Amino acid sequence: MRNKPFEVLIIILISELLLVGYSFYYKSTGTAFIKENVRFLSPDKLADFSLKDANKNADSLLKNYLSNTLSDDKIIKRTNLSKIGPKKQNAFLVNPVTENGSALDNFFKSLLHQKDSTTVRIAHYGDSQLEGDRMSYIVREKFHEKFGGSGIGYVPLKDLSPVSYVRKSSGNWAKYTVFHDRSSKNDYGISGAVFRFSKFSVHQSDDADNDTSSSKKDTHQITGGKPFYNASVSMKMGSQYAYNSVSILYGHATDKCIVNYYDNASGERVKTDTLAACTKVCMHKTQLGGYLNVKVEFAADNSPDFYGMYFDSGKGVQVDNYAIRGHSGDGLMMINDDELTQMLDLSNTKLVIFQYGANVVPYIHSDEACEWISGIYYKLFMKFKKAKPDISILVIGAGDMAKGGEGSYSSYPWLPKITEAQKRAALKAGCAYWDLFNMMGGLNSIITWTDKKLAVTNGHFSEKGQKIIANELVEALMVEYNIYVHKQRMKK
Amino acid sequence: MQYDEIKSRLNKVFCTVFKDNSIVITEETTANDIEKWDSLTHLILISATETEFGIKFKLKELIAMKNVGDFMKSIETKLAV
Repeated sequence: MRNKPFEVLIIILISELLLVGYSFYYKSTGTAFIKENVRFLSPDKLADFSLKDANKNADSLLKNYLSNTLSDDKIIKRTNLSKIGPKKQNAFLVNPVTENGSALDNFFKSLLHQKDSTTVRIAHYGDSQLEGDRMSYIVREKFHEKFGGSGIGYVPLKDLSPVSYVRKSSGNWAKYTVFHDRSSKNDYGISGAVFRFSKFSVHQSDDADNDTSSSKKDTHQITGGKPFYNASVSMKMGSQYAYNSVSILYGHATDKCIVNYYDNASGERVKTDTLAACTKVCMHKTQLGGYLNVKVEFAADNSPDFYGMYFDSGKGVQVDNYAIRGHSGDGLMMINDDELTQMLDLSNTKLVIFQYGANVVPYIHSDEACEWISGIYYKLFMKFKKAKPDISILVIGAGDMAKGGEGSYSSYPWLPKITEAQKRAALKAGCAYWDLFNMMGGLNSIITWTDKKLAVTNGHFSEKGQKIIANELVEALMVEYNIYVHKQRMKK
Repeated sequence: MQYDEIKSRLNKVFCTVFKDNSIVITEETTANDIEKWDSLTHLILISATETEFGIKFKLKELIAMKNVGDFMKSIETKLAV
């Protein structure tokens, strides 16, 4: 067969011209004579190169974030954390001046004065981005590295498997949250969840990791069979999570509850303890050698309300992961005000991080809706401020997210205004704000993050992406901490 | 559009948004009766309702709604215009 390159070129050029011509024709007339499922970019889109420009910004930022790492494998071992000087300024974290110094000062004050004698806690609230200890575990490791502390922090009595350790709960636990499987008594714990055990197996909608639920409260199916006389939670963790104290946060206990601790490696019971009756909220702390494969067993005639267990070293800093999939934060308003105060006090929580927004981004298309969410978030931040005026709050705005359309992906157009609304609410409430959206590179940066396998277009981060975000977050906090320490030294 | 048809289509929106086919709305249904319905998921519900009926709500209308009955009356009024 004879080659005819010139003819082939002419055919290609004519085809291209016809297709481009169709784009103009379709735009002006709206008539689609080519099949509807064959999509064409409009001429405006064809000539729009803004995506490439935005990606260049994200590219440049990512190079910076990655260049500070020793290697991909040791990304969390970034060494320059301790070298941050007081003159370094934050590009994406706003730490506003409030009545008594800056928004984060109370947390930094606790770091300076309490970390050697007790555990200073950080509550990390969020949605599926954080579910199963994601991202929080890296923040935790960084804080342990710099300020001391150990253990895995908050342990729910029943939840999805975490990424940082192995946990298995007996089948008779029920979990109620401010969002899924609500409790009729609205008696939620600090995490937004409450757990109770039953004498029989409990099946709940999220047991099979699906996202269905019933419209009625306290919906769990109790099935028959051999009754349980106790309920347990087993954990297996790495040596980096060695601990020496276990605290149990619980309440509304009409009678005592026996707690047995087992070393799963040998099967031996290593300690027995008793939770006293408690009308409101109590925290029971026990010293326990660091068994890395441990089972905690509870036995009582009537289950108390359990809000969680905490595995700590008794000093340093701890990061607790309080995540609920699909949640946007508003449900935390259901936590009883007085009990929230008690729980923040008992746990010695000094910094609250709210990382929400991704679940509402696709549904906001107006300035009015932005105002609506700003108002809701302001109320939430003020609830925590009112519950404990001396805590610091850091709000992390929604990150970049994309939707598909016109044959490609692009950011949700209202994202800049949504994050501005979150920022307005945070600053109005005297909270610090970390601008995740611009830290990523702004509009369409998610495309670059996705190309580099650091995220997916819906805004969820890969493990490596989580490490970058967590590193940058901790570094931003450390910049502010160093400024605070420098100011304290100058006062002397 | 008839009130019953509005109710039926709105019920489907509820089932889709809250991922629960067992939801049966009544005029008295409120956020307390439905799992996952809070102020922020309310926005998702509104967005889906706007798409379903081809209407738009204003912020003050959203704030004024106390139950599904108010919601349906608002939809009926908008569709009648």
